[in-house]
Amino acid sequence: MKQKQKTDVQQGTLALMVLKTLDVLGPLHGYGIARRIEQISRDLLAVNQGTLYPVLLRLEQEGAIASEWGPSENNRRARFYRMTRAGHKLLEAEKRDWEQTAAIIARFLEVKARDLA
Amino acid sequence: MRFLRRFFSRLRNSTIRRQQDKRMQEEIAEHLALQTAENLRAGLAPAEARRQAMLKFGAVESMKEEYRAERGMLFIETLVQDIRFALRMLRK
Repeated sequence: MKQKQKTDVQQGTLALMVLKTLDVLGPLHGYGIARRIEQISRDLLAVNQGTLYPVLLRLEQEGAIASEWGPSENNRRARFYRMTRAGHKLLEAEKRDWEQTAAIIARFLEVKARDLA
Repeated sequence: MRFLRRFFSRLRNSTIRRQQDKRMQEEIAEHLALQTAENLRAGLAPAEARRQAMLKFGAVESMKEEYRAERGMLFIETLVQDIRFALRMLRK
């Protein structure tokens, strides 16, 4: 049960990073998204890029992103992903949630015993 | 009547799932090809470039391809798939 929860958290975080990456850089294919996330996270996601594709599929099923085939750098085809309006709204909501969570935790970390007496 | 509806619904779902699997497989293949090309540009030998790309992608893909590289195992895998398919057809 504990193991499953850990995977869920990572997937949620990855989904958020995908949305932000597409928001900032525009349409990208899976490899491009993985590379940018790698860069931004300073190689925290250098391994197991395989977890990206189920996340992309789920985000697309939820309507947060849309995709279509396009030419890859290899002159073959790759699936390019882009944000949808629903995706932008989701990103905004997630951003607010994270900022709120961070603020609450910061308050807890600053609390001293005498504050609670 | 309900049985028929459920049957078509299941068929549609399994068709959609197969299409999604096929698409994901193609996307993953292209991802590995792009990562391999990147590794080649960085100076790795072709076999090592591919191996590193698969390691980076995740244990599952590396394992699957190492497994498939064994010709003997490949024959058995195909045989098992054929038997399972035949059994599924019989059950229908």
